Amino acid sequence: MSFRMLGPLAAVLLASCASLPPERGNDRLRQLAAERSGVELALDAQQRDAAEADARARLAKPLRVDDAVAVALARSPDVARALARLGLAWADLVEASRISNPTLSLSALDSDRSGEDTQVGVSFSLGLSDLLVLGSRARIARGEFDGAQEEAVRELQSLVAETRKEYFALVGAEQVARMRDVVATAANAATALAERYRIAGNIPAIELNLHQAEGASAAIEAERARADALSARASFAMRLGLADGEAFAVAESLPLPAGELEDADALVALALDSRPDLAAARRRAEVLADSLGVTRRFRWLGDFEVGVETERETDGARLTGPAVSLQLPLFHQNQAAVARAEARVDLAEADALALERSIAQRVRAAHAAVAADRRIVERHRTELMPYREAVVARTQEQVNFMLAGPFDLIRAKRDEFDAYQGYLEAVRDYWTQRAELGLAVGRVLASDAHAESSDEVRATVLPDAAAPMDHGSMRHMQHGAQAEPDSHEHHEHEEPQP
Amino acid sequence: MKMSRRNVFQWLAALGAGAAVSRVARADEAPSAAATGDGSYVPVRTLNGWTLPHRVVDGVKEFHLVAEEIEHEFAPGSVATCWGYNGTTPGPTIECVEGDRVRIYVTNRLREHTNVHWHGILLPAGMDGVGGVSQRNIAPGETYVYEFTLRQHGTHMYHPHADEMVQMANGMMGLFVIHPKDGEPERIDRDYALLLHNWALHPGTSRPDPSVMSEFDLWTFNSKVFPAIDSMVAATGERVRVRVGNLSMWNHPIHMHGVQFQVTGGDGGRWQRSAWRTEVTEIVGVGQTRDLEFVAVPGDWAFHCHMSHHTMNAMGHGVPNNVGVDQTGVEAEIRRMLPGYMAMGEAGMAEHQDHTDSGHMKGPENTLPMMMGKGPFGNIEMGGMFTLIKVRDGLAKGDYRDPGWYAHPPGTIASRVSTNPDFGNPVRRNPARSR
Ligand SMILES: [Cu+2]
Repeated sequence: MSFRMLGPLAAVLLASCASLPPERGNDRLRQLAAERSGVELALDAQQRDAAEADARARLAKPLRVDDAVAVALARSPDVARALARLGLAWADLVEASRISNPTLSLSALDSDRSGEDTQVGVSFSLGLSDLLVLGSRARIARGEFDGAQEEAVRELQSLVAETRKEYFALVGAEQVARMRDVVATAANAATALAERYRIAGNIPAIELNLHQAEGASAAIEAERARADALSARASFAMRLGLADGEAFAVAESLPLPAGELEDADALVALALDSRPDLAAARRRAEVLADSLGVTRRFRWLGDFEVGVETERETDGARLTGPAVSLQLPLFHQNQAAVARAEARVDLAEADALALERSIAQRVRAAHAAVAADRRIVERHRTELMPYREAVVARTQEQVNFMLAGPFDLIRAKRDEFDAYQGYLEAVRDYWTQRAELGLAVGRVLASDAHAESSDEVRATVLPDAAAPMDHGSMRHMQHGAQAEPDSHEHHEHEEPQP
Repeated sequence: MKMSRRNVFQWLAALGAGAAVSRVARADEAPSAAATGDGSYVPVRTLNGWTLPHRVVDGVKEFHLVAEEIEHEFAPGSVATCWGYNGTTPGPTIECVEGDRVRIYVTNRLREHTNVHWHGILLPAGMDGVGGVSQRNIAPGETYVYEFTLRQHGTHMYHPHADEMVQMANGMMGLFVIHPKDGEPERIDRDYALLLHNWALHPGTSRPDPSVMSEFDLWTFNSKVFPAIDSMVAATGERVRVRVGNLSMWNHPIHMHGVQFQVTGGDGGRWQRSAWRTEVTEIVGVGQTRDLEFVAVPGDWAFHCHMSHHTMNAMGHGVPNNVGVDQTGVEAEIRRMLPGYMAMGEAGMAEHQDHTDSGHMKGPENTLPMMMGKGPFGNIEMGGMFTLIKVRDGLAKGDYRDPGWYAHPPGTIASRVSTNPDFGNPVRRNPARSR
């Protein structure tokens, strides 16, 4: 083979190089990310700067859930990791799309005849099989790369889902912690009241001790809730990829569930259509089937080389001629490679099927869990909370008519607080379960939009700690010496006659 | 069933009595024929209640009681589903004269069996009305007839002796007054009658709870609580009798202001004059009756049970004692989470009626405040077994209308001389210990 023969070969190679887009597949990646995760992916320096500026702006205010996702995408090392892995896959693709560099071998052969010069041999060879399978190999590599992109999108989905989950976990934990503080304050008030009854000589020591023990328990619960909130905050900051000590805040209250939950069948269909990892698995099976075809076609080749060899004779004459080395398919026709390829196809297809099945199951389970959580939230909102509030109101009526005492009233309020905690936890579970469902479906759910727009879980049961206390309107006569420190003076004045 | 003449007659009688129920003697109406009796006695005045009309058939006085479920108002603001007779609790008073032969039909309109026991009345054993012992019980829808001759006088009662706990807790009871055939040893001008009872009408409920044995919510004269209990009205100098029967589960020391009364009789009829006792408080035991007689002196006089919890409406008995508890500061803390909370009772509960009367301290539904009533000098702070005897000069005989508040003659009323607690330098032991 002459060097001229390499001309068309190079053209083939260049053509295959030219078929790879110069943006390294980023357009598709951005499109997938936008379509499947509802996120803008920053890939070049300019985009990254914009994303960082956006993240800073969002971090300056209390984060809503979409803010948290945007910040995580701008900051999380998971994104960089996924993109880096994608870079490796790209390199594989580039490599696979080019023919292997030709091999140049130099050899010096000692003449076996004495006094003769050493023969110098130069050989230049290309893997012939490379040439033959290049097209197939590039196609296969492209498939692999597409799969890697899908996997990267899946990683982004996972990041988004985890961010949403941890966001709601944090908002819920902080809300619960604030409420536990209020409960501890309530228990403290009961203890302080019990102390007054004790000072007056109206209750035995054991009753005071019981109230003191309850107060201490409530304080411990408040400490625990605070610690839980701090731990949720740390996990969340880690998920977002925030720097150590970087300040941030989240919304004060969880949003109420809103919007209609999509139909389970529709979500299963959507998932089977959307899950990037399923697409990747299916793609891998196709790619492997393709490889199997190539392996079958060229099975007789074994390791087949075509090359050019030049030998310089000791007399200075040059001998040039084609060199072909051929593995003769005498003892085997590469059956092992074919069997391996077949097995790989079977395995990939089985994996894809298993994933397809598990996706359907997971979507249905997550859908059922979301629906159940939604019902639990609704029962809290429309039943448990109003009933607990009614119990407090009825107890107040009993206290008004001296049918119950202040400790009964405080107890009823604490029960209402406990119900409210259950409510908060139910709303939190609802949203984290929704994030789970979104992850299972592999697509942003239309109903997730409501997380931003819906009403918040308003803490009507909680006292407004900042509000000034109302001493006036309900005070009557000699209630509390504080209000009327000069009450003795009144005795000096004439009282109205009946 | 074989339709005997007697059955037909009973059926017709039931219809007749049903019509009679609409003619109820009321305090504010002119005395009716039913309430004036046969002229040989001063008819009894059942406070807030009525006397059962009768008719005479072949020389027998015929009455017809109907046991039934009713709506009963203890006082405005508290209505309950109770059981009674002929539409009321207590049932109408049966009033007769010693020697009368009475025939009493009892129709059962309850959904369970019942019977009537004639408490304290001498009669044939088969007329005694004890279920299982002296008769079959009266099944729902059935009418039984009791017939006997009255061989005594005195203040008596009737009540069921079947599922007694439930039926009495629900209000089934009545008075049975027998006047002496030979007239009274002392002329009686006004003859009042009332039945003591207790009710477990728990706050916020509207049906008495028969399971309660001692922690009752309401204490009543004729199933009413103060201030819904009629006053006992008399003219100065009139001889007044108050017949008190007790079908509750407590003994009640009944106390009368203004006079010393004489206890002249009860279930045993009119006592020998030598047995009359002069008292101001008489314990009327469970299942007993007592007749208290006095000569009316002008004024508004309290008449009540002396158990202080029996002159109050429902109150919690396990509530923490607020007296002396300074809630300053703590109250504000509690009100941050419970804006309706108000510290009460540090100085005592005297202020309580102001709160409940003014309406800013709403109580449970269908529940009366524990202290009620307004007089010319302010809150009366009573409930339950409390009413007034109102005596005025020159009231006409048979005029039972409420005369309003007493106008005290000048100089006969307590008055304030100082608002300074140091006034007068009285002798006090250990003054340093008081606050
Ligand atoms: Cu009493």
